[in-house]
This record gives sequence, structure tokens and C-alpha cells, in this order.
Amino acid sequence: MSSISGSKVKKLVVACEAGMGSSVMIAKQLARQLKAQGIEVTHAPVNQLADSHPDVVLCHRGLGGRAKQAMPDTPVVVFDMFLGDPSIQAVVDAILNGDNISDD
Amino acid sequence: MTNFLQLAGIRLGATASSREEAVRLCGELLHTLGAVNQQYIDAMWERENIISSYMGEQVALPHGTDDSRKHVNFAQLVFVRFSEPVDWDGEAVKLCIGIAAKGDEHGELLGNLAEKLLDKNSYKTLMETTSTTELLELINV
Repeated sequence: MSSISGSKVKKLVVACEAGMGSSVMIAKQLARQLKAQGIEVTHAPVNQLADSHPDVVLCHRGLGGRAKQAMPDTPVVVFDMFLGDPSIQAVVDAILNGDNISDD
Repeated sequence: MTNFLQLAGIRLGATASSREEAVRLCGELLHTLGAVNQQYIDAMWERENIISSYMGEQVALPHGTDDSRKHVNFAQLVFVRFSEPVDWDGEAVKLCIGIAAKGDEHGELLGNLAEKLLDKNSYKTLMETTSTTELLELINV
């Protein structure tokens, strides 16, 4: 289990397989929502996650195991739905409110 | 802005008896438009088997693998709406937006698309309108 205070998050990375579809869509939505906070949101293939130095990783449940293996010390938040998933919204809220984000 | 979706990339009232057929239909259309090589179509099905491209709200976004970017000639979207829902590993899909991209050039468009899928009025247009002009205007913004 890893955790970080939402107030310390500077970079969110959406992990993906190809980085062509859904992860791009989510990264763009989050970038817009968190623009005012100056938070960088990008996407990266799961095998290149370490190179992108994320504070928090978001990924689909199907990739969760691989993402956690790549980033054992970083919170990896998994989601099930690409559109309107409550786990994604919870990360946004935690960043805005300075609450804790963890992957337990 | 570049028109990632063109009139020839829209199919309304399409039919597919399986998820694979639906994904390959999107791939064939991208290939017909010259946006991808034949190999990309197989890569789309390969990607679909790694993780489903189902997004929610009866929409799927099939596209290739990271490795298959080399088979992309130019970034392009296709809009394929089915007359009957396609079984997508237990989910029902009525709209496929097939994607081909070399990099992140289509990122802003996908961000806009997400907002449109979550907005009731534009969602209804995407799922129901028979006006291809309306679809082009909605997506290519």
C-alpha cells in the first residue's frame, strides 16, 4: 500500500496499454479539471511508467497488477469505467481538498 | 483544427454479429480511408483482447496497440453506429469510434468527445442523429 497527500500531488499519470484511446481521453479530462491547480496530467504505457515519474498512477483494473509492479512505492488507483468512474472523481476531489490518496 | 473525422468515415445503421466483427469493421474503414495499413486491423483486435475498449454509455473506442503505431499513415477517426447493440463481453455497444493515431495529435478531440458523451444533449445527438453534417460538426470541434 502506498499513499500521498492530495496537496503534494504535482503529476498524475494515466497508465495504458497503447495510449491512443481511453487513457488519452481520461488524461485530457483530468488535465482540464486540474489546470487551475497547476497539476500535470499525462498518460504513459504501463512499461514506461517509471520514466514518467508520477506522484499518483491511475489505470484500468485490468492493468492494475502490472502498474503496481512497475511502481511499488507510488499509489496506483484503479478504475472500472472510463466515463464517470467514482474512483477517478475521488482522486480529483482529494487533490482539490488536500485529502489522502492511497491504493489500499 | 484538423478534421480527424470525415464524411466517408461515418457509418450509420451498421451491423455486426460480434465484437470482433465490429472492431474489424472500424479497422477496414480506417484502411479504406488510407489512414492505416492492413496490419493495423489485426492489431486492433489484439488490443481489444488485452483490455476491452468499452468506455461505458454503450460506446467503445477500438484502436491498435502501441507497437502498431508504425502501421498508421495519418491520424483518423471513424464513427460506426450500429442498428442493433453488439455484445461487448457482456456490455451492449451501439457506437464504435475507431481510432488511428501516431502520437497525441488527436488528444484534444478525445477530451472534447468525453465531455460530449457525458452531456445528455450531445450524447443523444451522437447516438440518434441521422445528420452526418451534425456529427462532423460535433466531433471535429
